[in-house]
Amino acid sequence: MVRRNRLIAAFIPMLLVTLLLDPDIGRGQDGKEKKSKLRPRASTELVEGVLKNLELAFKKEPEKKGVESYAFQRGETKIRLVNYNGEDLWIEAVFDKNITLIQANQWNTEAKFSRCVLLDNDGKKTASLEMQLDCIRGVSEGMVRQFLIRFGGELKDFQSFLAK
Amino acid sequence: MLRSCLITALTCLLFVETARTQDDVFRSLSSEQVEKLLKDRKLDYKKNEPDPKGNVVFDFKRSGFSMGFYLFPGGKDIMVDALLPPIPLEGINQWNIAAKFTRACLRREGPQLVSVLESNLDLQGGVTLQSVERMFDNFDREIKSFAAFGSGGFKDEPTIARVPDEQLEKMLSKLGLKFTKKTAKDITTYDYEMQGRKVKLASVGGSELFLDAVFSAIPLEKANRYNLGKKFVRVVNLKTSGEPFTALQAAMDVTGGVTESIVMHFLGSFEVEIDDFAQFAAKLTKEAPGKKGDGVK
Repeated sequence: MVRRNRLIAAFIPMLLVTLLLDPDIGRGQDGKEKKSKLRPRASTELVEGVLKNLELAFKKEPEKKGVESYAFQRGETKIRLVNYNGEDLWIEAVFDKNITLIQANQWNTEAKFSRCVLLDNDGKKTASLEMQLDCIRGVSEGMVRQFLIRFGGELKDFQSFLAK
Repeated sequence: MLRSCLITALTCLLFVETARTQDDVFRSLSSEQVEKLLKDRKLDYKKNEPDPKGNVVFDFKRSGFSMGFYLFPGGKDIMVDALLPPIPLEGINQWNIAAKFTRACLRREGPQLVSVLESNLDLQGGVTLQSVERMFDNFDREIKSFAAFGSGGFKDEPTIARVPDEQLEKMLSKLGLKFTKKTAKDITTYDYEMQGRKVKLASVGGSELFLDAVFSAIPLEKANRYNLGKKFVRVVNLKTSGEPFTALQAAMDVTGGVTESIVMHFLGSFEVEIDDFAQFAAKLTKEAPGKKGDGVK
């Protein structure tokens, strides 16, 4: 019960952020064109701008060969967002939990956009929940924002899944 | 007097020698000559140790692209290549039909699938330094064209938060995919074939798109290994009715706003992913014939 309350508390800010989204999101349900600036690549400014708008306090790691990494937290969960030269974004949360391949497969059959992979680093077994966004044909602020929010939603479901 | 004549003669000889090297015909290149060539072009290169076959590769970056210069054994032929983001096989073929001096292919570089643009020059018939310079210049031009071709040329198109079925169907037709359509509630599915595989595209109200391709079941451990090294897709083991199978899946969230080019890329690049996973699965069959998938509910 305590754990559940902590989980709920951790995600209240995210829910608020979701409600405070760009009013453009949610429009266009009729398929009509939306005014959202498309950029050729996910630039540093674009990514950091979205993180700031979502009030995600991030720490930027030193850039390596055009690869930029950002670390931030949702509740007790550490999240890492990686920008690969603006061509694609990768987001992941690693859990110190030894789940089985069957459980990981079950998650992957049920989740919409994320996947769970099992890692083995010198005997230390962890599970990573991850999602990627392909930006090679252009990317908008709305796409990055939605990508982060979707991950937040699936992360919440994954935590419930692990708690079962 | 004699001394000054000698100096003049030597200077003339040196000049002639330098001039000759520009037009000299040679039939092989040494590693030192390649290094000079790269230095002259102000390329910051890294020379790798020869591989077991004796090929020497010089890695460098140019115009933001990772490139390699290959000196094959004996220096009798050379190659330059560049790594770019993967594009569908159909696009690779189109490039190879139209390109003059290069060829493209898809290859795996570690966990990444990449398009590789290559240009070769056989030196054994005799070439000049200028021929090699021209090879570089032509390659520079073609790599830029390929990058533009691969990205479809970035177009600042309007974004949409929902892809209506009619628009989706036009895109499938543009990709040359013959589909059968089914509709149930707010989900529309399209069944078609890519690379000889059954593919299902599901559109949930036009705001979420899901792609599935069906393969023979592989062990879960291998599925996890595949997922570890891939971007944009996942493989899962499933069982609906009958035999268990492995599905290669990709998903797109449209609600943040996407363009037609982005959706076309999502649909078209799945062919590359199918090809990649088919190769992975084929290797498994060779390694452990008869081992079936597990962990399926």
